[in-house]
Amino acid sequence: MKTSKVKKLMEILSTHPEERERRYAAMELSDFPREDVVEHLVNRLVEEKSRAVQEAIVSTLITIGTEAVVRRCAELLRSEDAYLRNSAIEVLQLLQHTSLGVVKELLQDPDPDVRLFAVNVLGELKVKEAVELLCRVVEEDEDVNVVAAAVEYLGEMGLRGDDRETVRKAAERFSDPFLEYAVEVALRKMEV
Amino acid sequence: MSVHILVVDDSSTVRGYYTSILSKAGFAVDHAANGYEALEKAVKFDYDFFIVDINMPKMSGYELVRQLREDERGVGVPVIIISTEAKDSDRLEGYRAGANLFLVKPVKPERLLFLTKIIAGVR
Repeated sequence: MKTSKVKKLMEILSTHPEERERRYAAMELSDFPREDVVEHLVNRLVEEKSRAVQEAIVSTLITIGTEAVVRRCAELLRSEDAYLRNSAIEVLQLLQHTSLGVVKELLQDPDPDVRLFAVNVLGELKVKEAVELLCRVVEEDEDVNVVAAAVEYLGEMGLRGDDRETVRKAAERFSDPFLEYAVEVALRKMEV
Repeated sequence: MSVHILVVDDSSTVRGYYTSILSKAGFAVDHAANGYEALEKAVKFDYDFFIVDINMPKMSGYELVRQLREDERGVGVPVIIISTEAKDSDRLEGYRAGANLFLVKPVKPERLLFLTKIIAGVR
């Protein structure tokens, strides 16, 4: 019974000509936190042309909130579609504890854009481990944009003496006016 | 009369960085943290120039530029996209959306100033 309902909803989401029907189908699928549903939702998110339906799919993915959602959304960070990338960041940020493990892996990705997205997710995670990971990014990452983003988030989090030292040293690793500015701003915020 | 620039970026540090560079050179700089705020401000104020990031929550920089170009007030206003995205496909999408120039972060202050002056027609 459940399986036939899921099948029907997935079919409506894929093929129904009415945007409203596809949107409702996407929302109803939130009652079925199964891997095949997650797979279908993410595939439709990529193919769907209606922004309203895409937004419904994103809400459903957040409601389902499983490890499968996090893994599939992490793949969207490599998409050429900026909306998909930003939606993936939103999902990963909102699914804080579930996404932490995946985000840690993304910090080792060879693509600096993916590492930057991982930092953007970490910056919104309200967990102690996020601070430690951001400090490691500041100390070790080779891309100035990734380091600058981590510095900015650390500044916003308001930190301890050791973290201030980590941020201060970031400017010494690169000769870049933007990073110098980011470090100055972050240290000012940390003093408040 | 000074050139009025709207800087659109979700990072307050980036907004502050561009503002410090451009305002020292005499530009009047305003900011927005996302595409929706930028569109609201663009309706209220007459900007001469936009500097736009790509990856922002809810509305991407591409979408923002497309919407600016759809409004008759924004058709001819210069737009520079400045992003960490450095792929050819990103540049192409930026230019297709209507940007006049696509720069990759981080941008050195002198380069930002030089290009802004050229595109804004300021000597």
